[in-house]
Amino acid sequence: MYEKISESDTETQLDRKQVSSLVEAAENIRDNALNLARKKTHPREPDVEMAKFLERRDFVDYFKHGLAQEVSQVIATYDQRVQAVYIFEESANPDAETEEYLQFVDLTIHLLVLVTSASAALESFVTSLDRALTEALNELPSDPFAMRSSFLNVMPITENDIKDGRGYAVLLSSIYARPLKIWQRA
Amino acid sequence: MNLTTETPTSTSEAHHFGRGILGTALTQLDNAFDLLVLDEGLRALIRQPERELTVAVPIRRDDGTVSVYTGFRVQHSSARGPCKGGIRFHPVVDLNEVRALALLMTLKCAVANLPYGGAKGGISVDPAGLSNYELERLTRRYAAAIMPILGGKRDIPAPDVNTNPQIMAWFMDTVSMIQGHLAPEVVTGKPIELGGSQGRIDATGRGVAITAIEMLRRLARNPKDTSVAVQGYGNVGSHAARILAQEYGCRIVGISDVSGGLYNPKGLSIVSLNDYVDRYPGMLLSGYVADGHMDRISNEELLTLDVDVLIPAAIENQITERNADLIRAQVLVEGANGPTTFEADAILRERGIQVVPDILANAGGVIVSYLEWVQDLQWFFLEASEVQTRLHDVMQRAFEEVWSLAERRQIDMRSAAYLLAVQRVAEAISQRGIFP
Repeated sequence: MYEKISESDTETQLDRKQVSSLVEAAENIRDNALNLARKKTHPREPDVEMAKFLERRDFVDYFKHGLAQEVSQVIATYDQRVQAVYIFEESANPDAETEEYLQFVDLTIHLLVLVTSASAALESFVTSLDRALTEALNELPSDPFAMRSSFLNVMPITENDIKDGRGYAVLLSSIYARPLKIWQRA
Repeated sequence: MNLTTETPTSTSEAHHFGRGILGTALTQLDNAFDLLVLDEGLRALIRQPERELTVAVPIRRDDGTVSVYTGFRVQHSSARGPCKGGIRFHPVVDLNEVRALALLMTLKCAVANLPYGGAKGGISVDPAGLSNYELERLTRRYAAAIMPILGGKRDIPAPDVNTNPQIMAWFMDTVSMIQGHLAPEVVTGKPIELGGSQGRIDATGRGVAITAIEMLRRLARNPKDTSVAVQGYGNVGSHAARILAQEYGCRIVGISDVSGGLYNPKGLSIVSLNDYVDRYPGMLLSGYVADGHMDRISNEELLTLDVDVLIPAAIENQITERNADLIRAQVLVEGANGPTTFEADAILRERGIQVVPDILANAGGVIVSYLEWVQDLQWFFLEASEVQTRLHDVMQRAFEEVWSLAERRQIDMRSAAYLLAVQRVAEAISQRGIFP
């Protein structure tokens, strides 16, 4: 049911993610991201329940970013063709000036993954990872997380896509809402 | 685009930025200059930002160390009023792009006839790398550093990339503490509780819907007999679709987001879709359980649907020379910034497709930003319905002015919008004269 992901990673600059199953990988992603978000968010009362933290917009923003970084590491470890990963917000509308804090938090993690070439294996892996991650996040004591059936929107792009301005690759040259690079292969 | 050290020629600027958004804007600017027969001095003055400030933004990190970031604020023009523009936090804040964005804000405000010039600013920082206390300290230090050129009558920032109402609240508090009194008018995009405006959540989408309806009116089309496709179901697209469907009776036949689209020539159930969006915030349309009457389509297919009105409200550069010939809509309303490339624009023009340019269509957000500032200055706050009425009036008037100019000059709406904007800025400069 769960795919075994590659343990080898010849890039010594990367942390190696030795995981035996996607379930474990997903739980690690979730827990690491929660720890990161707790470190970033003040006040850090240790006794505050996670449910309370998950009601805070700033905590959820950090958590989402942490998830994106962790997912990027896992994807990059799985597939050596991955060169860089960017996060973007689909609803970003600079110049609107008014509502950058949407009524809700968009919990979908939108990633542009720069690859040397497209790969059906990567797509399949991401689908499985999303399924496992969704199960892990559904366990959180928060309705917005508990009710979701998917969290990842991973879009592979190539250098040619960027050069030709194809699809969402055009965001990398955007002056309005440029994505944030969150992972880079050394 | 080194505007501060030389008087640029139009050709060099457009070439520098190629045919992207900025190159297109500069080309349009030059076209407007030519149509207005402006002298070189005035042209140079309009091209060049009035003021730029670069500041060091040191903060003490949570671990006690000090990090120093670089902040910018570019004020393009104050000829028509205080400067207005967002603040972004991003590792890549390119000064040339900030200058160009400030110029575009000047023009956007002028098209809507808001008493503002344009500005833009930011800090080169990855905000996700800071804790929330560090983010607060960064914001406060930046606010204090650029405060000499800010103020309700000088320069009024707002949220932009990676900034939000909380950051605006810290900004306002910093300025207020230094000034010794509450000054809500110094920024917009604040939380409602601190002087933010009602009626802003759907402001941009509402503005897009209003311009779509105004165009239909000019073409003697009944909105109730009109089919609409919307690319992008985020804040702009979803509200535009909802308003067109529920307030004007349009038939929304196609919508899409980053995951793909849905199509039903008889009309999609916007109520059901918005219920899905409300119950599962941020969930993509690929997760929506389509009924048997809906087809799943791609973003590319949505753009070429046989509809009356197409609203690209996602990202830039979606209508290009590759697909411009395949667009079947009669009207295109640019909800996003720069969705149509320069080459595509020419093709659409030749084909007689009416384009409501982004600089007009998506100005709803800036207009409500202006209303927030006005409310703060008066300490008198409007209900959401009042804000919507005022937004409607301003958008309707702006559309009429651009349309009339386009008709009079026999030019397309994008050219007319730029011409009107430049004309207003040039007029203000001319009447004020050159100090001293």
